[in-house]
Amino acid sequence: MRGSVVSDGREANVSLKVIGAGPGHASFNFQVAIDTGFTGHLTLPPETVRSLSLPERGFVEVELADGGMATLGVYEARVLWHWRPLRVPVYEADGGPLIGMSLLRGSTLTIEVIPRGEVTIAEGSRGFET
Amino acid sequence: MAQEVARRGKEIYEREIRTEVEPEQEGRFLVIDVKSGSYALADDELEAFDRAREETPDGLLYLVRVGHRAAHRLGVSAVGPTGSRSIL
Repeated sequence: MRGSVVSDGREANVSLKVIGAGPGHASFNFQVAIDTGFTGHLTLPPETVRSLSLPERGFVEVELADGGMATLGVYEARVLWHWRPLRVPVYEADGGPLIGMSLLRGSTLTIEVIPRGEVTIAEGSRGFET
Repeated sequence: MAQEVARRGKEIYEREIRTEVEPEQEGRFLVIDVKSGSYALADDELEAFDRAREETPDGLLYLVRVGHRAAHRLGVSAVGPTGSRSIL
C-alpha cells in the first residue's frame, strides 16, 4: 500500500478502500491521513458514515490531545487492507479521515517526510500477538 | 443521546463492573448495555460489541477499555458531531 506526503510536508496520506454496507456494497476510495497518535482503527466524517450506510454499533468516549473527552458514535465497516477485506470499527468524527495504530498493527510503515515524499505500508512478516 | 449513553455507561461501570474486572481484565474491551446493565468482554472491540448484541439485541451499547480513562486517544482536531468536548 502506497501513499504520499502532502506538498507542505506535514501530513502523510494513503488511499483506503472502504466497502459500503448499502445495496450493492459499493466501495469507495478515501484519502486518509496516518495518525500514530490515534489508538483506534479509522475515523470517518458523519456524511461519509451516512453515505456508506455503515451499521451503528454503539458509543465510545475518546480522550483528545488536550486531555478533554468526546463521545463518538461507533460504526462497523469493511476496508481493503493488504488486499484482503478486514472488518474494523469506525469512529464518527469531523475532520478528514484518519487511520490509527490499531489498523497499522503488525504492518511496517515508512514515511519519507519531505514534500510529496513516499509513504508505504507493508504487510508485516512477524505478525502481532495481543 | 450520545452523552447520556456515555454518562450511564460510566456510572454502571464504576458502580457494578469495575471491581469485577480490574485489574484482571486490564486492556480488554468491554461493552455495556446501558439499558440492562449487562456487559460483554473481548480482546477485540467489534467482538465485544457482537457478544453484547447477542445477549441484548435491543441494547444501547457503550464501549470502554478496562483500566483506561478512555477506550482510545485521538487528535484534538477531530471531534464528533454526536457529542461534544468537555474539558475535565
